Amino acid sequence: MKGGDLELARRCRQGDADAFEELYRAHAGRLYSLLLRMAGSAQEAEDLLQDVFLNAHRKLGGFRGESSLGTWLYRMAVNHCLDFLRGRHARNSKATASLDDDDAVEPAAAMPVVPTAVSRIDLERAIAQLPDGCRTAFVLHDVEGFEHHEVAEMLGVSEGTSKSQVHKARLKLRKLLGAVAIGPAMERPSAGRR
Amino acid sequence: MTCQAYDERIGDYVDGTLAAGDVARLDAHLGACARCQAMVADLRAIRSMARSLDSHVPPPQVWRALAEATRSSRPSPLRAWLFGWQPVAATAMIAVMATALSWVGGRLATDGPPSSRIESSAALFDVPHDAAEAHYVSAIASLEALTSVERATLEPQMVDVLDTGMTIIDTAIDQSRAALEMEPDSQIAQDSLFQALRNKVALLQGTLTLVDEVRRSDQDSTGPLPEDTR
Repeated sequence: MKGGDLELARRCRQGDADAFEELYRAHAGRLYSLLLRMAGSAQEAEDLLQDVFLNAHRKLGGFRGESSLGTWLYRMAVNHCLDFLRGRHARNSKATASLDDDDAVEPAAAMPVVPTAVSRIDLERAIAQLPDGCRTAFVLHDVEGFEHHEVAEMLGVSEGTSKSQVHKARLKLRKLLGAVAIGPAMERPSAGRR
Repeated sequence: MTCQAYDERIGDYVDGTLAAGDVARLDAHLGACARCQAMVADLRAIRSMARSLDSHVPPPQVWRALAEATRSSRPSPLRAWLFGWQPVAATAMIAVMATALSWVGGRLATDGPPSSRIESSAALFDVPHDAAEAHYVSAIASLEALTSVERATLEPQMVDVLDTGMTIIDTAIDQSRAALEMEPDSQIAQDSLFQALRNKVALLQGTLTLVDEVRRSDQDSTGPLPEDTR
């Protein structure tokens, strides 16, 4: 597998367009899914995916095969998306703690509010509506399966903050998904950054 | 304890990372609290669903834009050569340098026939040997000052290849100087030293050319994508 990765990287470095397409086809789906959920918008995810593969195209000379190409690309995608989100946060002053200020605190329901028939599409839409900070932590922990200490390291926060953000995200999602059954359709994800 | 006091632990409970003692206490609370039971059920459902979300397929225009952008930033022949044939390039450079070193060593050990001698650099420039060597040393110092900063632009593999060549050339310089110390009048040793110094100048100049090449290529590849492909 590693040898295959090194060979593919070597062909890409040589300017082999077929090799670069092979690299893209093998990894674009997973990276796009990650970026879509972290950024919360399809247009931004497309832009970020292009950025990631352009960076990879430039930096393949530095790929030494110490990890798989998939892991190398994944790390690049996470870091690039976090940089983007920090920039967006600075631009919009959209505080990650905004859940503290809104009405996201879970209702005192005596019965589960998330309908058993809720679809994955509903969940995707709800994730897109989360504030950046807790959405990122939730995606990395609950969707991508990282441990809290790993999420904390990636985000540059404490493990406790990671737990807190994931918990807030779950509560917000609970509320949003509970509204699916009784309320109007949730908002669609926001438009792209351009 | 109130329900709010358990809220902070419900996340760990759902994740299965709550300490055993706390699990027992929370289980006891859940047995009597419909609100917390409902929350645990919902959070578990969300967590489970999140783990099984489908993969998305990026729209085709993403690849089209990438293909277009990378087509216009294909590596130049020089860069492609060093990237693509790096192992071969390293081997070739080592072989060439090793041959040169061997030749230098051989020439230092025994005088060959006059026809095989390289032309004396000092004679070529018609300047004293000391002045010619000082000229090379000064040029090398200036080039090394530039490359020590600029080479950070290059990929590690490129730097490895260049360092390998430089090590071999430096060995040739050291051997030539050692031979000159033993035999200060040896024309062979003098010629070998100048040849090695010229090689070092050429390699340092080549390094700077490569840095320029990489910079130009990087600038091309970070340019904006065509608007119509977004």
